[in-house]
Amino acid sequence: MAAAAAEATIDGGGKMIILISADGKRFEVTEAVASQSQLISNMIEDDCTENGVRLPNVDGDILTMVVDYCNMHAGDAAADGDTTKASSTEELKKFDAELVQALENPVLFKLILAANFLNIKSLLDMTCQRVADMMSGKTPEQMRETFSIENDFTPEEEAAIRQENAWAFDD
Amino acid sequence: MAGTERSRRRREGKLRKAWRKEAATAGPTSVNDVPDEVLELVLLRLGDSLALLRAAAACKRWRRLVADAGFLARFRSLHAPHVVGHYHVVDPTFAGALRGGNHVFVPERSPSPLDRRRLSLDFLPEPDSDRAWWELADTRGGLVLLYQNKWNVSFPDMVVCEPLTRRHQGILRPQETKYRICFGVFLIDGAAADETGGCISMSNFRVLSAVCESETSYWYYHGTPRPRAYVFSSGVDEFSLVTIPAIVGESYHPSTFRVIGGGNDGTMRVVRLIGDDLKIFTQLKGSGGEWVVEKLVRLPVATRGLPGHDVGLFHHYARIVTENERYILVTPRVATWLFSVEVETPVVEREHVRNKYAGAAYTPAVQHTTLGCQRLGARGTHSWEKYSRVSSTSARAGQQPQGTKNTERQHATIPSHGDDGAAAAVRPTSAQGQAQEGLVDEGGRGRGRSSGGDDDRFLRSFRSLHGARHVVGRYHTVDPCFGSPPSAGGSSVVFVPSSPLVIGVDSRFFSLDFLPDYDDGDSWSWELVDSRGGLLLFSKKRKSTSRWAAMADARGFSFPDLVVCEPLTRRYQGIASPVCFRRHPCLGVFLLDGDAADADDTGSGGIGMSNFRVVAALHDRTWQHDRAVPLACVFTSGSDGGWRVLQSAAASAVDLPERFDFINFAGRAGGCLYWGIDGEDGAMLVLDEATMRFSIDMFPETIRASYDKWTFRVIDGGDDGDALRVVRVMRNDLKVFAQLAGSGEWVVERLVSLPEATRELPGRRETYFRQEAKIVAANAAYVLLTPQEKKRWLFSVELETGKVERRHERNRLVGPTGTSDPFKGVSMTSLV
Repeated sequence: MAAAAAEATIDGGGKMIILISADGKRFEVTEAVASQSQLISNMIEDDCTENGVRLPNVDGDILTMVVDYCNMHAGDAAADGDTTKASSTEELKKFDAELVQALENPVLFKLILAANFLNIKSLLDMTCQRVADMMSGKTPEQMRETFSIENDFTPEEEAAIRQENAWAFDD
Repeated sequence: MAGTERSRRRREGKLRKAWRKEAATAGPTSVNDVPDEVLELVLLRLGDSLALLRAAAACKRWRRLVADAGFLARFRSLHAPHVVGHYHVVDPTFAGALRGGNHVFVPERSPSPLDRRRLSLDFLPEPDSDRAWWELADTRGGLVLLYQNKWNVSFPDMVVCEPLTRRHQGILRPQETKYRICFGVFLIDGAAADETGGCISMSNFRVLSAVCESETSYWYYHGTPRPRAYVFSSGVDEFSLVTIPAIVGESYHPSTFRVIGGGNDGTMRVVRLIGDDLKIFTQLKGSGGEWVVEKLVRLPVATRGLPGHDVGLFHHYARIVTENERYILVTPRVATWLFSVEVETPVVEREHVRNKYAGAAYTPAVQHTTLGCQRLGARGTHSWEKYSRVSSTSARAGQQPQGTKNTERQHATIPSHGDDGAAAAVRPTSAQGQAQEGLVDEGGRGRGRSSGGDDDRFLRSFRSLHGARHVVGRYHTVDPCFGSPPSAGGSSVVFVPSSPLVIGVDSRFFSLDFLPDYDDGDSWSWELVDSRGGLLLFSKKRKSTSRWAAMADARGFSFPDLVVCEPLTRRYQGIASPVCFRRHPCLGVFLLDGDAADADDTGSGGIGMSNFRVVAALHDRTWQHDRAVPLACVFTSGSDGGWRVLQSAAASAVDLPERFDFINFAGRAGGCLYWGIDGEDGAMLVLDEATMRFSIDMFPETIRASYDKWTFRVIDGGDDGDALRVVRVMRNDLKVFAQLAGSGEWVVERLVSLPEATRELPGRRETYFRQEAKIVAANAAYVLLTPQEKKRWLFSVELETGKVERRHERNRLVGPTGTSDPFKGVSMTSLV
């Protein structure tokens, strides 16, 4: 975790990069792992990763998860076209989906925000899909309940909406 | 491997633990903290529009996001329309009559996500009388079209409704059509696309009725009935008229004439059974709405191989049983043997369940119609999803509905067979009378059928869009010896689009059905002999029923009548052969650039319908009758054009054998035409296209051996352009010879061992290549070959890569000739 490690290289992993979360936690990852984030990938290209990358929008707890996720998925891009690895990629996806299902809402949305900020497409896709799945098959009331949304329609407005598309609201 | 597996497991376990821990300690972040663009990503991932609608009712922010037109358009593009079920038409002869109509709703999934009562049509107005009821005619998007079935009215009153919103709009028939016979009524997309890309809704739809209009206006087909289409547009609330030209329909009995919608693009199409040919006519966009043959299916041929097929089935032709946008159900007249023809593919089949709706002796009117129910409630406006009935064709959405607009214009531009000016000028046979003795044929020149400025404008804009030399595809000559008989327009020409076909170019533009008829159409046809630029050259050819007939025909081959045409503008010009040369054996006819650089201002460079030349190479026996000389006849387009014999070209130095069948066309390369001459010690006849001079050229011993057309071809050079190359098959090696730039020495540029290279191809047998393989066609891009042992096992060798393949469409369709006919040659390239 020492700052000096930023310059260290491990076998085949390339340069190491230090990520610093909002609450000051430091994470040491290889370039290959970190560049799954388009944001960091751009920074690497611009050579602004010398003194570690500060991520003021991401809590240490969430960043732990993101770094773990990136470590797990580091080989993905290179594995394209290899059938044996493709099947293990498939397995990994299933594993991810199971994992994300276990998350509670606040964590899920924090993860979405982090994935969006860091611009990690696969993570963002996965988490958004999870939210969409949670919406499916629910009535508007159930959605409000699930996501703690306040009903800001007036009773008249709500009645009008239901009237207009009555067929969609047969519960 | 085990080690990596273990370490992966370990990492997974660690991750799982870490994420669980986080879950316990995280703070209260909610969906409200997620920015709009991310929430959009979530909403786009909703599986169907039912969920989307419900989400839009959750709160104001969500509603705002969903109601955005851009969002809806994106959602539409990502998700196939959501089908909640199908309305089925029920034939009372099978199921017993239903009360109040002939339709029943069948949900797509069970249990249905919607309350089935929502799909009830009980809100429709009462029919006019006790004896009338509403019958289902068509559905499109979320709309349903029904007509009032009354015993004494053939053009019905209709109603369009939207079951989910329980709204309807009645459509009264135009009074004058009350007793006209109606072939069908159809829902088509509205004229305007809404902001989210939807094309059909209660405020934006059209209804098309196809009607037979006879002079007496009654049931009977008196006089010369003409089919017409009435179009009802929402918002306008009145019918307008479209006339279907006589070439599309001459008799209008429902067993041979039906009108179908055009699928997604909303155009009207006509299905006709003419003898044993099922033809689908469609209207071109742009060129005045001209009707062309889009599909042609030879039923006796297409059904061969289906279980229960028998040659006798089609002795008394066939009849159409029912039709819709996807398929046409047909049965022979002599027996009920139902089969369906897919409109798009056109696959013919009997196995499909839809073919089994008929009992032994009945011809049911079974129609499957579906209802796509998608409703996006937003801002209080009604914005329905456009829904295509066949989701697999929805990729074609985005084409503007056409064909029923501008009815006046269509009416004015429909070509008529009886039009003297057009028909007389372009028929080569009728031009013969005028081409008396001179070499200049006045009659067959100069007038294509449509000389209007529209077509030129179209072509100009097309060229500006696609570049001057874009190959959009190839016309292939199909030889019955190699493949099944072609199914296009009675001639042996098939258009194979480049892959992928240029977006926006409708392959219907390449239909050649506009070529003039022959006086005795049964025994003559137009054979494709050359192409250049966007033009095609056809020669009049006796239809050969068998290979032997074709060979016998080639024996007495003489200078034929010709037609030059431009498929994209559908113009053509007939060229009668000069009378005094009509009996000369013809070694080949070819298209050349015109004299004028770019006379018609279409940006086409040296060739266009008003600027081209045709050269015919003739075999002219001398008085001694044991030798002959070549003769070049050149036809020039334009007002001062016509046939000319180039005296200088008939150079006495060029000496040919008396037997013209010793002379085989070998290819065209570098601005010259090449013929191999058998038995003349390697002499080749060469015609320079620029000077029109014949000469004799000798190829070195190493490459000539024999000029047999099966093993020897001349093709264009590679990148250098002007050089020529020679393709040869020698002991089953395909060799490409090219000349070195400096020394002129011939070297082998590419060598492909055919037995080796084809080893992995599907269907390859060990017995192949015991004899020499044959070249079927060759051009600068590829060589098409076949083993002698099995002629239909065509494969191609790409010259650039040496790649051998059988899958390409050109390998299935192409089969230039097995006869010594000098006119059939390589496949043709259409350059636009």
